[in-house]
Amino acid sequence: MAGPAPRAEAAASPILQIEDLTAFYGRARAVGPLSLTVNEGEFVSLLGPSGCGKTTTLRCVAGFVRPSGGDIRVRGRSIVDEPPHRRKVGLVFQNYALFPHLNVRDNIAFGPRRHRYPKSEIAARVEGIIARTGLSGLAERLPAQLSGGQQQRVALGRALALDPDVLLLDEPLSNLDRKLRQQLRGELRRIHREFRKTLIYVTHDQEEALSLSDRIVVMMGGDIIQIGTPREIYERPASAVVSEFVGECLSYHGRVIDPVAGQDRVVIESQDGSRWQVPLDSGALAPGDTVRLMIRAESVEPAASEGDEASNVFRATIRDKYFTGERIRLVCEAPGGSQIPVGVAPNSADAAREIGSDLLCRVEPAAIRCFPETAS
Amino acid sequence: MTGISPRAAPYALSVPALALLGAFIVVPLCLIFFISFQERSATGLWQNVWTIENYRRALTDVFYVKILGASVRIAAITTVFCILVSYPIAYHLARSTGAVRGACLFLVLCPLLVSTVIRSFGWVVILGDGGAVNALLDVAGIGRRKLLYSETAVIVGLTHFLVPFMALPLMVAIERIPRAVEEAARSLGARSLEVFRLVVLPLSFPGLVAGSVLVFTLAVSAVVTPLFLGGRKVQMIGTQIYDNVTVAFNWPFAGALTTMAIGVTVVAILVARHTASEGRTIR
Repeated sequence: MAGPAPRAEAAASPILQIEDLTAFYGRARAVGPLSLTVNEGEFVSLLGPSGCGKTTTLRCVAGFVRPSGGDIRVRGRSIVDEPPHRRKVGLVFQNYALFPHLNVRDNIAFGPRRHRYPKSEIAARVEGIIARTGLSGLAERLPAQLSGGQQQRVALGRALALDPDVLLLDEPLSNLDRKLRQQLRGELRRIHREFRKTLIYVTHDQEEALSLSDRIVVMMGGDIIQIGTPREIYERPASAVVSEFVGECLSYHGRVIDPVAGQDRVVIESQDGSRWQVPLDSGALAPGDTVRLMIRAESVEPAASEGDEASNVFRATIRDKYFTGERIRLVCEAPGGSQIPVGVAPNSADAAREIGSDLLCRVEPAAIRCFPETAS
Repeated sequence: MTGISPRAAPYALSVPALALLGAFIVVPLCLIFFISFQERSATGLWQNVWTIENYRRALTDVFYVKILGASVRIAAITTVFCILVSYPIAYHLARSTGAVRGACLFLVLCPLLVSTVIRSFGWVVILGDGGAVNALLDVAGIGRRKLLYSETAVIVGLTHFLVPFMALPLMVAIERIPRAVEEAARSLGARSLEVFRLVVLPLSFPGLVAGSVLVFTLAVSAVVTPLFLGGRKVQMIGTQIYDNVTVAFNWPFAGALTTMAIGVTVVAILVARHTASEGRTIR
């Protein structure tokens, strides 16, 4: 087998290596072939819509789904043939799956007891976890008597009690209300810092992935479509699909007209005839190439005047209007018919505009991403 | 037409059921209780003379004490066997879906679709001297055994009949245990038996108690199954009551036995309730 050449990763030590992993449900391919290397202490998110294979990947690593091909190694040791509990991999479930009949202490002690650690060591470990997760004073409580945040700490503590090499989290926050979610994200970051564990976090919530991770792995249809830091994923999405998934976008199909001399910009005409200027670094483009333009909703703002052609100003119709706290959102119908929410300050003149009236909008050329259209 | 207030509606709606229960269960039971304190009559069903002789006889005559003991023993063993048989079935039912589940549920309920008499005859054919089991034993070289008309035969028959009463409450209880809780136990190092002992068993305990009460009460008062599979050799409270009503025409004594059978049932329910609440507090 002609394996890939050894990569220069010696500096950061890889703790988990997934190589050409494939998983099938019956005949349907759920994952792969997929390769991913996670370094010690990293917080990596698997981000994608439901059915993209992120949970299956996680369950392959945890040992609940048998891969049909490929290898998974923890600290260089292959674990694909090991049962779940011998993998040195901890799992935190959606809704936490705490043992409802056991108190906090017994929940945390469950793993060490099953591994037949000496009694004194079990006690020391459990008390250590209770203290470090901030559960002191709650040790005798049942899960039902705890708040959502405390339950998350028990779930993390229970998995950490076995001192796993890798901690896997399967959408732990997905069934909670918004406020609690934000609070628990903070707790997750704190626990990650406190225990310095390698975390793999599965989520379909881009905001969660962006705010928590060191690196994000964007998945779609069983494949990885981009790996990068949150900023890379957000600012430089590798494809229109990633861009669409990571935020609300205006999207246009267009054709490259001409580079603008001396300004490092490309002019692109979209199908409805409007013209856009985009930075040249969007990839090698030649006149006549068909491309897809992606414009982030946050980068659209009201324009003071028509301006010149270089300023990407367009006229949109306000179709709806709602208040979100710090901003008023005007849902604008842009040329071509797609709609995006444009945020304006509540006390600005634009905020007073009626539904049905027009609004001049502008976009910084640097905020437009441009992807070569694949022939299909 | 004047409407019934929403608050009174539940009571009003339960009147027919309560009337039916009252007329055909409470009143007859009161009558039985009354008769059990009357004297036997050579010509009628009882004669109106107050006595506690029936109870003295039932509780002191070794013959009846033994029968009472045998009934409780048979019912207890049947309950244990039902638990052993039902847990795997209930677990499978609770964790399967769709057509598989429907088919399995039907199989579990099948024993209830056949009349007790026919079901018992089935076991006579299987366990009889020339029956299927003995034929197999013969072929295997072990030799024929006397299987029918024994406590074992009664326990086999009762277990077969009563498994659905255990399996269904257990199924409902196991269904409420999220799969992830079992997976969590597994990922933390619990082996299959430990997952059962430490997670499934304690979390399905209420279902276990409910099923045990049902099975025990139905087994302790069984009539037809011991009659067919136990013959003359195995006597239970139910068969004694049946004999006293239809053969000996000693209704007052039958009444005393009935009252005692109900007493045993009530004790069983109280014990179960106590165990259930203990289970809740011990964890």
